[in-house]
Amino acid sequence: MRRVLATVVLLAALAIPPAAHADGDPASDVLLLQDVYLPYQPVVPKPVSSALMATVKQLHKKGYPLKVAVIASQTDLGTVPQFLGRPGPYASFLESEIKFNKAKPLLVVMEAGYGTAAVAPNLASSLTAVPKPSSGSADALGRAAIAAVLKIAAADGHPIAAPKLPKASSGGGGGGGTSPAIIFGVPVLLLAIGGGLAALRARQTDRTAS
Amino acid sequence: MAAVALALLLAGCGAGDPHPPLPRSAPGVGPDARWRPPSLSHAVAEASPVAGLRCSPGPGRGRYGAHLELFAARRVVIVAPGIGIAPPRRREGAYVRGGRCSYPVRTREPTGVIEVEPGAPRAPRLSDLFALWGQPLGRRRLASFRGPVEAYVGGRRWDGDPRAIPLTRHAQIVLEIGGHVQPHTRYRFPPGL
Repeated sequence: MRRVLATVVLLAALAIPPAAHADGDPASDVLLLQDVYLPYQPVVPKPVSSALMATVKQLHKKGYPLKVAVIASQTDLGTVPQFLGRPGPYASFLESEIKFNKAKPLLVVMEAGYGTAAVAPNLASSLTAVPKPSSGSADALGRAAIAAVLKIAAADGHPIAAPKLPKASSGGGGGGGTSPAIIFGVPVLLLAIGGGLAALRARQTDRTAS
Repeated sequence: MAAVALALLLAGCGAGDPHPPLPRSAPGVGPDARWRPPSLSHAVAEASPVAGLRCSPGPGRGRYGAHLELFAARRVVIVAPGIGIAPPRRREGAYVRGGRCSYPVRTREPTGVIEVEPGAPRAPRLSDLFALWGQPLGRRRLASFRGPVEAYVGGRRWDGDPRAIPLTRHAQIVLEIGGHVQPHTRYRFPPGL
């Protein structure tokens, strides 16, 4: 009886079809309507995002329909946050969602590096020469995406001129960031002023007392 | 033998796993226009009242997000950007940033994220979104598709009329017709929603 039950359970387990998982990552929807997915936050600075879109557009004109997804955080992954830090597997997953009857070459950029799908091996391997993003900041991710697209374009025999970009910022989503002199200097100055005022008051109190 | 069978069964589950496995693929969008219904309905184009909801200028206050995924024949039906936003619209690629006015239930992006403004005459429901969209919804109808509609909220089966599903904060709603797709239980919402 036990053997029969176990056999039935085993057969039932084997008969259950693998469940298709629902989609729900934003890039899979956005890339159907545009060629670049940019993160919600931090926001890629406008000069960098515009340069990235223009670079990808140039590559399309040269006959290579690359899609690019820049992923900064789990928010950009929607229902599949476990892909954060895994650009290669995410590229394969995302490409399966956006292709119809033919493969769509895809580049994924994360702080952890680059992932590609439906990209010729020589083009994919060319990315080993591209440094990973210098940080997880929006500016760094955007610049890294541009560098990767330029590399793929060159490896594909269709080099594109690098766009002119403003000096890299050290901040997160914004443009230039605040100078360290202001960040540290202002509190120190205020403390010094406060200390000076306290000393003055103490002297006045002593004089009054004497 | 029973232990092996049980292990096989459990291997496919992963429920409650703090480190969920990486899925290998997901359904793509359906092959034709039925899976991409347009965002603009006649009523919204004219900024007319819809289901008691009015089109108002300005961003509104206290908005929050809900998320909707639609599947027909196990393929994705796009929830278009711009539902509930009257033209002329300000578009930026795949996103609709604004319009002449907007309704308290609207979409600005094609990801299924629904913006909801509380304080409407009554609690917003999924029927409001579909009314603004101009697409039918019922127990046996989902946009252009006919047949039994399966509905899930937070991964749990909703047995009632899908039109009555409330658009509560961070609700994760999945509607399916013509084939089952394992529904997600939650969604990571963009900041501010």
